[in-house]
Amino acid sequence: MSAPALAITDLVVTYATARGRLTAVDGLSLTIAPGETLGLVGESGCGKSSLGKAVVQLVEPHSGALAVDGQDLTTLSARARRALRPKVQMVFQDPMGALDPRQRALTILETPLKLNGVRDKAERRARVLALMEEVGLRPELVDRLPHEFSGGQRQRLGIARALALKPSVIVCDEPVSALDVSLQAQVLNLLRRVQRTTGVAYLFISHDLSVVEHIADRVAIMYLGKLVEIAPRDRLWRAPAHPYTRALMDALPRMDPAHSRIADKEVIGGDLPSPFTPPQGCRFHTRCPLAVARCAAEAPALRPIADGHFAACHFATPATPQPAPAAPQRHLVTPA
Amino acid sequence: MSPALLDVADLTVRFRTPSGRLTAVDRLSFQVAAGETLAIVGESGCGKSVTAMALLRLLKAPPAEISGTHVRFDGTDLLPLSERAMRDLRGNRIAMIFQDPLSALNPVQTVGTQIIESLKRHTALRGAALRSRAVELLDLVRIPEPQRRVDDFPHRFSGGMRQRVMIAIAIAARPALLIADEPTTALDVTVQAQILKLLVSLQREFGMSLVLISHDLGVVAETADRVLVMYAGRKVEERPVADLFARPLHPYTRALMRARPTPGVTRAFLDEIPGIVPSLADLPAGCAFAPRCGFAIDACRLRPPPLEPLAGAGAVACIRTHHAPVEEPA
Amino acid sequence: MSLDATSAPLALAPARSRRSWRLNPSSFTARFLRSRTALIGTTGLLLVSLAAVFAGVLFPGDPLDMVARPFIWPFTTWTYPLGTDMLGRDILVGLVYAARVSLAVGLAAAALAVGLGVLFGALSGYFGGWVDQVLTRITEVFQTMPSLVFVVVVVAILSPSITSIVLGIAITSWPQIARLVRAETLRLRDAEFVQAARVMGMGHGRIILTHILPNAISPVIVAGSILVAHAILTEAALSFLGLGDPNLISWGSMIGSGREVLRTAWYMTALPGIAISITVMALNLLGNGLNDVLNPRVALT
Repeated sequence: MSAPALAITDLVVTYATARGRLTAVDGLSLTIAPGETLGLVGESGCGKSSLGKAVVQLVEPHSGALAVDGQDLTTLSARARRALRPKVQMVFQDPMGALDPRQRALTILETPLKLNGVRDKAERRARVLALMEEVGLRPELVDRLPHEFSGGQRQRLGIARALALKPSVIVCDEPVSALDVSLQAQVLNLLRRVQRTTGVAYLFISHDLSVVEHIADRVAIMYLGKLVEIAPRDRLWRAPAHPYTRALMDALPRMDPAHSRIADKEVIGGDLPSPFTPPQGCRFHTRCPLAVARCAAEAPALRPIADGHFAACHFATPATPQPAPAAPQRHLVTPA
Repeated sequence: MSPALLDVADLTVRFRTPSGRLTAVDRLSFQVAAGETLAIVGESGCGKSVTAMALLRLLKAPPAEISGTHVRFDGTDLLPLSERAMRDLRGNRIAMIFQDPLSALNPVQTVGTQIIESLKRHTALRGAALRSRAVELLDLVRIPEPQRRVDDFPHRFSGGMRQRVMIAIAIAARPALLIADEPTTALDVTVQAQILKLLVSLQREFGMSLVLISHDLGVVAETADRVLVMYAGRKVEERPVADLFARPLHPYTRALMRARPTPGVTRAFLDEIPGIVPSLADLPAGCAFAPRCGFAIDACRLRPPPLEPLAGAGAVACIRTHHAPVEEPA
Repeated sequence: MSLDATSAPLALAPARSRRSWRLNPSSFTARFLRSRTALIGTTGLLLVSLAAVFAGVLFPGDPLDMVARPFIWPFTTWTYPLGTDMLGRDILVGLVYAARVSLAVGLAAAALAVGLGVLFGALSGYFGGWVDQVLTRITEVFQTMPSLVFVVVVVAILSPSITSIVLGIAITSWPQIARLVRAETLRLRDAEFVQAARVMGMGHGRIILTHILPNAISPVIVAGSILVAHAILTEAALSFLGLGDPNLISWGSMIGSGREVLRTAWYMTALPGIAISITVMALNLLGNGLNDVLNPRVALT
């Protein structure tokens, strides 16, 4: 088997802040195979963005290992690390903010090629036009400034820029959160098409479980710096093992008023605890409907539940898959 | 149906810009009954937020120009009302909450002070009763330890808690109508569910009407009684919530639902809506959705389709509604 | 809001040819031409600059030559329209030559201050940490000095010359530019497009040059044009105090020498004073106009 596109081992990311040291990612391990999409879901403050930034070397991890295509970045010299940078690229949340407002599309897409030693101007232009075609942007847009593009087109430009360096992994940090529903679909479809043609792997970070469930092969759930559950997409959806995963699924608004109304829903209470003072024991125990004394004292380890399915809960037991928790949308499966 | 609490007829909002007048809301009519939840749903730029702002006349005029046949609230037409009379109404009989609770709260005043301010303006309460009412209101919106939290500053609250404070301020004067403009868009999913549940339970408790503005069809499906779908400043479909989600009729509504990933349904590709929302400065002559619509025929491009009432309840503005094929089984 | 759909027509319209003869209404030039303040400022400044540049062509000869009888009042003879001073030197010629010195001092001092300020501000804002600590402390030391006194000391030590005056003014003015650039850099440093540049492996120097500075430069240009005005005023004050370059004629030295006969021949002080006012006002108008033009959001409201 070839080396994983990305392997993270015991990664810890901390920040020095005015309020003290903040541990954003607390000993997290995961791998992504070449061409695979791993969805990373969590609410604000869970550390998912910090993890993404550590992967693209925007923040220096406190400890742990980070390997790209089998090469461990943490043991390499700064020079060798920089040489590996093209291997891991990023698509950002805010399509406008991720583009320099004073640079034209040509410059934006040409820069990574220049940095990567494509010296010939005509060749660069040809490659830029090919990239634009790949993401569905007409070639005559090449001289436009970012504000002259629509939101969806800007995100296409961001994806093209990430593709320019032919990366093994693209970290997609909430790439559709700032977009309208109709544009979300365009961008999600584009990401999938690009993956099929280039074989790139995605670390797809999002707060939206329904988007992740659509795009990901496997899904990881994060809570306050820790991984609480990771499983193949279908498996997670059919048999969520961690109470937090179940809470997220229950809270997800569904387009099914006949079966899902907020007034009749069980809603998990409480707020996310401050990441500065995470609860002792299981971090979720302050909000967990199943919590007992043991949960406050002892942090559960990530344990295998089934093939490829791991959960960090004292109550998670290898279980037989249950039927899907919600009836699928009627108007999608039956003629009305 | 009981007489409508809010009766909006032909509300039109135009903006004067250097490149001409833009019609952000085009002859929009709708009603909200007492105790009912109406959701206005659409993508950015469809005019849903402008509608909310126009109802309370919170738009700066100029550049905004608001017109219409009438905007009747509890029998009174709001359109000819003076700014002073509107001010008495706002936060009193009609209240509003916004997407971003942090910018709506004053950072240098305690939340208690801000609730008391609203109570002073809109109720007869004075003295010590003000503070105890403020604590009651915080308790009502399920803020733990309200006695202590009443003296905290907004930055000490989480996003969800701040939105609860905003709701407390909004319901301080027991409004008959609450307009909530994307109240949970900035919040996490679990907190979003809490806030929506709170809004719905407060609404039932006080018999309040709710106008919920949202871009999220899921949120709308979970909370609304009736749904109004807007596109490019016009109403394209208005239906009871169960009808709409069981069988959306307007091609735009349908496209919007199919463009969203559906939990539990595996599809390699989502159904894209081709193209982009047209600019208000350059609306097509006929149906605004026609350029992106798979069912459009020549007649769609001639003039805007009329809003036709449906046999049961609701209305659709699409001449192809009865011709468009029923969706195939997935 | 509903108005964010306004970017759509651009996306739908066929790509505009860049050689189109029509001015793009949102381009810098178009907005500049629409800004009345910027236009008035530029016109004023252009007149002064032209006079300064073509002084030698318009009035050959030494402006310090005594050409007529002293104390001719302005507007009394066509030969010397602005009159003569107490030594019989032509005041109009003096003003025109003095414009050279004033503008040269102003531009040179502002350029030097902007250069220093951009360097310090960009480095301290971009790298943060101890680099920022050290550079900010240095900036503060210079900022807390009373500027005119400091310039007087510098000029006194280095002996009065145009170079020492420029140096003195620049040394006391760069901190304001540095603070401005530092604030802008801090804002831009964490922008996603800068992060994107880092992710693709771009070096720090290149990021600062291609992403940070082009986006930070607008307020610096505005501050720079005000700085030119400030430098001209400082030079005038120094010359008035007798610390100007003795071999050159400047507006400040003209005022200084006119001071002794202020009661009897006030025009000798007033005329160079008006020249200074016009130039400084033109520069301020240009600065404010540029501010509107470079920040279109301000101009729209």
